[in-house]
Order: sequence, then C-alpha cells, then structure tokens
Amino acid sequence: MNFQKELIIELKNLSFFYPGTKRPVLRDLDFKLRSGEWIAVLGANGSGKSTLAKHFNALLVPTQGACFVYGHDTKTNEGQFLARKNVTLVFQNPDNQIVAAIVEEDVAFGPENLGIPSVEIEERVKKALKVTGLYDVRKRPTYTLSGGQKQRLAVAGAIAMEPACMVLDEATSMLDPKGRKEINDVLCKLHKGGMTLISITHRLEEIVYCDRCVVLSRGAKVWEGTPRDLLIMGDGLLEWGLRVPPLVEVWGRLRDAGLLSDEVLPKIDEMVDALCL
Amino acid sequence: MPIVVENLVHIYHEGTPLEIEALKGVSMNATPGEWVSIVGHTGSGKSTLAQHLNALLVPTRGKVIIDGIEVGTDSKEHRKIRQLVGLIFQYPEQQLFEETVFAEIAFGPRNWGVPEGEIPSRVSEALYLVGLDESFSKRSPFQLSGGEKRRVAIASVLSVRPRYLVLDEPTAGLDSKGKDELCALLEKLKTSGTGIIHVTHDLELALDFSDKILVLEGGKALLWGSPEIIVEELIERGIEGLVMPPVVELARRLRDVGFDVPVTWKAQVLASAIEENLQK
Repeated sequence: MNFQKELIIELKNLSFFYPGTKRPVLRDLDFKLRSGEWIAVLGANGSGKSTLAKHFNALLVPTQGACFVYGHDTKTNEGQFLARKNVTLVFQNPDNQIVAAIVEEDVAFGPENLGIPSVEIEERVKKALKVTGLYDVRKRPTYTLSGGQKQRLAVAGAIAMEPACMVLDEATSMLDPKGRKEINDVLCKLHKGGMTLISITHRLEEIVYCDRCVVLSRGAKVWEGTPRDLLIMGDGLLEWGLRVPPLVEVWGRLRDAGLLSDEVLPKIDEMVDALCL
Repeated sequence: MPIVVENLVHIYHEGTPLEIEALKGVSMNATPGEWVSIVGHTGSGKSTLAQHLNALLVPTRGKVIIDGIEVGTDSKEHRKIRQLVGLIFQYPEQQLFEETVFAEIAFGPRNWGVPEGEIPSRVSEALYLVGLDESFSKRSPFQLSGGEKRRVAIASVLSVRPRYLVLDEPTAGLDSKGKDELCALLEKLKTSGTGIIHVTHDLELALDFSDKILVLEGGKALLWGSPEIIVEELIERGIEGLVMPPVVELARRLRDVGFDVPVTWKAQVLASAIEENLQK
C-alpha cells in the first residue's frame, strides 16, 4: 500500500532574510512533504515558524535556496499560482479571518473567489460545514460564534477551497481547552480523510496525532522524526524552548520503568489499555 | 486586610431588552501574599469579576470590599482602590504607548503624584522585579520582543506598588519558556507579599500555582477551594464543558478500572502511584 506518495512541498537549502537585515530568520532548511502526511513544525517564539508558514503558499519567497510546490519554484509565476491554489493557511486569531456576516456565506467566500460554479459551491459549503460540525449554526451571524467555532469556521472556509494541503499557524493558541479540542478533533477527521496537514505550534500536546515532527531553533532545522522519538527526549527539549506536558511526563516515567511498550503513545486511551493488560 | 467578594451580582444593561446577568451571586476572597485563580471558559463571567476588583465595574447587588473600602458606595474612594489593585488586561503589550521604556513605567507613578525625585527608583525597582536590566529604560517599547513587551507592561503597573495584582490571561500567546518566566515572576511577587489574582482558562496552570481556585461557569461559582479540593470535586462531579487536565483524566480512568491511585494533577505523583500498583 505504501507506494511513493506524491510530493507536494519541497524545501531546498531555504534561507530567508527580512529586507535590510543581516541575520537570517530561516537558515538552510530542507524537507519534503508528501500527500496525506500530517507534519508538525515546532519551535519556541522567534524560531522562525510563522515565517516558514508564509513560504508554503508563496506569501514570502526564499532569499536563498528554493521552495517547490508540485515541483514548481514559488519564485516563478507557475509556482506561485500552484502554491496559492493548493496550500491554504489558517492563522492564530479567529477574529481576523472572517469576511462575511453569516456562517455559510463566509465558507462560500473562498470557492466563489476561485470561480467555482454555484451548484458546486453549495455542495462544498455543505460538506465543509458538516466536517467542522458547524452545519447546525450555518445561518447564524458570525459574530455570535464562540472562539472555537470561529476557528472551525476558518478551517471550513479553507476546506471549501479543496486545497491539497492546509497549514495551521498556531491555530489553537488563542482558544480555550474546549476550543482546542474541537479543532484537534476536526484535524484528525480531515487527516483520516486523506488531507495533507502542517500544524505549526509550540504545544507538544498537539503532536501525538502527527506522522512526523520538524523542530526549528533560531531558524534552523535541529531535529526531524516521529512524535514518539521526539517526546522520549523529555527535558532535553527545553534546549529548544519546548516543554513536555504533564501527561507525557507520566508516559516517560512509565516507559523508563518498563511498564509501557514502545508502540504506546502518550494518549489516555492507549495508556489505560496498555496498563490494564 | 483582604479582598472580599460577597454574593456579587452584575447585570449589564439592566432594565433594557439587552439585559444580561453576567454574575449571579459569586463569593470569594484573597489576601496579600496569596495566589488566587479564577478559572472558567469564555463567557463564564471571569473578566466581569476581575473588573470589579479595581472598581472598573460596580456591583448591581452584593458587595466587593477591597481592604475595607467598598466598591460603588463612594466613587471618590475608587481612586484608592485603583492604587491598591493593579489590573493587567489580556495582551497588555498592546497598550504600550510611550517613547521609552522609562517613560512607560514612570507614567503610572507620575499620574498618582509620586514626587519626580522618586520616579527613577520606582522605575528601577519595577524593571528589576520583571527581570529586565537598566539598559532597557532608554529603548523604545515597540522594538522589544513579545515577551519583553509584556514584562514592560507588567512593570508599568508594578511601579505604582499595588498591594494586589489582577492579571487577565497573562500567559496567553507565550511559549513554554515565557510562561515559566512569567509564573516565576508572579511567585516572587507573591512571596514578597503581593496578592495575585490570576484569571485564566488554563486549569493545569492554576492547579500548579494557586493557593485557592474559583471555578466559574455561566456566572455562577461552581467550585471554590484549594487545588486538592478542586481536583477531587472535578473527579467526583465532572464539570460539563470544563476540559479536565489530561493527568487528572488519566487518574480518573485508572481509578475506574480498579487502580489505587490518588486524584492528582501532578505527573510525578501519578507515575509513582501507577508503578506501585503494578509492582504489587
């Protein structure tokens, strides 16, 4: 089943300087993203995560090296077009991303802009609202939504454009725990459905469902691998400004004591099942 | 002298069609040198409560008494209350406006009529408390990093030397290092006798640092007590809409399947208890 999946994004020796500055914000980054993968990009404040996110859909282009989307350099017109069409961004602040007064109209905004026929827009909007659990509030004014609902609305708007890949830049950081859980549940559903996802975050709680993690520190890639291998490092992650959450601490201690096997991830269900055996 | 809140009711737009009862009879208290957290999610009334503590809002019914002064009885007394209670809003760095960090931090004490000769020492003291060195005082607050800006914003309240500090989601948007540093700062202030009133939706953080916690839901006080009491009640009653800290949830699930583990939010305590259970 594991045949070569299609390459969506590829970075080659990507470095980026903001105009007029001498210190690179991103240094010599390399990595590949294939279709259906869920990647987490981790790093402390100021590590360059958000600057990197803006490269994925050509809001920024590299100063040195290159970013390819479907094999096309984002510095070229073709590459920029492909990036904008296939990669959508969801940002941190739920209030800054809503353009329409009514929920379903906001979801329709993206596909309308793409010139999709209206019959198809209706279909897409319905599907996006259902996946994000907003179908019942589709007629509501957007300002009446909670923070978690607004952020799901931003995700719904992105999905309705049917991108190949969605990038979430700290999309849960302004939400309360309930809102965070709502977004994570939606992402898990989308991932199962085959969507390619990039989560940009400093919260290690959120990476257990990802396939692969990339850690940035001062703009350079310092680590790449599976969530499990990353979380095993425990307090070693503090060097990169990352803190292991308490549940992972429990998991780490139990692993060290030989009470949890290698396959068990720090998820409550898996841990309870494994400990009951 | 403490802060005492008794059966506080706050109704916005009373007597109009837009009437909303944001607080429905809430009681709590705090003393200097204590860390009290107010936890609840969006819409629970926690910010409304916080704004009573320095007389930005006055009670519709019930009482808010700050070191013996009752909010709402005599508006001239509100001046004193605002000196006693420093309020730090969410994303306080958005309120920075002066040309230099010095002027920013000096603004509060100057406004309260602190003699000009005393201002530099007030600024140095506040900078020291938030862990920034003197070289910052000449810089523009707008050219600092996010974490530094937030510390300057907090320093500009500390320079008034409040007896209580009310902070609305002070850790929002900070990474783990920034969070650790801020909590260490608040703990230091607490030890030196300042009362900390911490408004947050992060129950995990509240459990780790608070002496007392008030859990609000829909304008009502659901729970009030020490972190130990809160966790026990949470496990017993389960609170609709409040996401349980993962470690507490794991402890609860393990107890359900027969493990003898304490109800705790502390990772190390739970891990040790699980190890003991399995060794038996």
